[in-house]
Amino acid sequence: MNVDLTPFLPELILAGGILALIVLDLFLKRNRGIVTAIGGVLLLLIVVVVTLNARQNVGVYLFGAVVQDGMTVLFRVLFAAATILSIAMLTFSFPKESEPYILMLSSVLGMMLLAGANDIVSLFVALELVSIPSYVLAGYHRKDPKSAEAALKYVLFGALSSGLMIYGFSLLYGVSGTTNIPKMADMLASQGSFGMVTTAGLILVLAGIGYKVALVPMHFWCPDVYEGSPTPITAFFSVTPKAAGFAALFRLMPVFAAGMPVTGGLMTAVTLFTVVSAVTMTFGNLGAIWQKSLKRLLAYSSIAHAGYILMGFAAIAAFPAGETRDLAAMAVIFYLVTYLFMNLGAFFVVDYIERREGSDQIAVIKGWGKTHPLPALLLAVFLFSLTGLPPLAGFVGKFYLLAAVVKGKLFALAIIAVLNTVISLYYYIRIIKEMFLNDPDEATIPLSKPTPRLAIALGVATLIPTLLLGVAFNGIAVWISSLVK
Amino acid sequence: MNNLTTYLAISAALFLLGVLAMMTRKSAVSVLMGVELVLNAGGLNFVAFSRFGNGSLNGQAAALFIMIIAAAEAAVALAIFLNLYRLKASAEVDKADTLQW
Repeated sequence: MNVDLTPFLPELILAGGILALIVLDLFLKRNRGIVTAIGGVLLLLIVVVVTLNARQNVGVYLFGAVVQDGMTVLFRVLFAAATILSIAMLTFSFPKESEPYILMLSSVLGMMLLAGANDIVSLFVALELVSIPSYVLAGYHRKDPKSAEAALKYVLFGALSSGLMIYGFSLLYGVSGTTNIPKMADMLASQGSFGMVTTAGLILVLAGIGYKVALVPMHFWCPDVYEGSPTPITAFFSVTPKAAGFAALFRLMPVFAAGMPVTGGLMTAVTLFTVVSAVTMTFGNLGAIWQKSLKRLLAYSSIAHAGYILMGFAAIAAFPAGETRDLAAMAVIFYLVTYLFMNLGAFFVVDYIERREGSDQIAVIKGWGKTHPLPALLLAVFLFSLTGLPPLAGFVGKFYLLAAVVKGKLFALAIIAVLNTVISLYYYIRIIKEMFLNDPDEATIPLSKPTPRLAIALGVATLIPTLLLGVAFNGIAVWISSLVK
Repeated sequence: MNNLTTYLAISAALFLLGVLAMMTRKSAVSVLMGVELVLNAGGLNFVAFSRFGNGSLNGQAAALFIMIIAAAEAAVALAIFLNLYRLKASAEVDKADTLQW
């Protein structure tokens, strides 16, 4: 039998490249980290070019286990872009070690596979390939008890959620008799409602994905892991595995729509997604209000953002095909793109603050508007964008999501989302007030640590898309819509 | 004894025991054992459905993948526990309380 491996070209290049980087590392004496970082960035750029070149080859490959379509292309480019920025960020903390880059690239290899997974087995294996290197990354500061504890919590919750997920998959396999996702959706749709078993299976699967993207009630690990992990790695965690979880959810949406149909089931997928989304965003925003640490605050804010993104899936569940589905899919991807830039940008500034002050408490940035105007201004822009104020990217992202939700006739959810935006304004503004309206303490003399210029350069590199996507959004929105159909 | 219901009952029992172990045990290693029970409950389900349900071999392949992933996960988890034990002289889950709220 002839097996065509061309759709695997991006993954093959990445896998081969990772092995080559490991071998290369053996011969390096100095700058191991920097060389590996540059190699990793080049590798990802090649993957992006190959992916974009192959965007016309739509089809299902390898006995139905892998699918290549517009969504695959979009997610692969998204993962690569987020990882390139994270790798650049990582070079400050780990200039002499190559291992974090290799682990990060392995995790990205899993995401690339996940973007094209069309079978529950390949989806599960890809999701584990994303997770297992992340556990090691979370505990990378071996001597730091906080980092070790973050890794412990990450790995235990991760193992629990993959256990729940595989049990859910086994129930779905039992009901439908196939592991292929589109066939499974067809079987479930033709059999009608199977009631309890299908519903339980789907809820368990959502729990597994909910862990990856930090949905309530699978979010407990999130603030602790974000606080304990090294900051550049937290920046990576806050964007890329989350996007990977949503990529998996996209693939599974037909199964959710067929197994928990709008009429006749025990519980409809629309209800499930609406409730989880509303609870997640409210919980994330309320939790963020009390935080004193910037990293913890951003962790709760990222939980809230997962809730916002899930709104798009509620709209897809309400209308699994047609215009509303296309709009919602576009809105979700557009939001992920804007979230990538604004959230990574915010973490870059937090990393700069931590490097400069040795702490990530909100109190240390008192009066930064006067003492460090550029980072303070950058952070303010990213936080305004995360709130969703015009004319920044976050506003457009939220606007598209709300448009999709209203089109899906989920008006209550839209109202809850708007109210949540108001809550989030409160805690984002609190940071901005601390920086611009409060005077710096006389007692704290600025430490004369060298300014990492690449950090500011990276801040600017994330700033430009955050500003541009807020005004010139139409082109990219049209491009995304053309690929999600 | 060899019908689908028996196997499903055993795997449901394994699943519940695993979840119970995860919720009640203090030692991180015992929690990991609970996780293995849950993963293998899923694996047993796959094999049982494949043998007695519809006869497709995909379920058997899935069970193999689950075993391999469980082993990989256990290896990483044990390394993390060992590191925590070196720092805190304890691998109990409730001693890991530096990060809260």
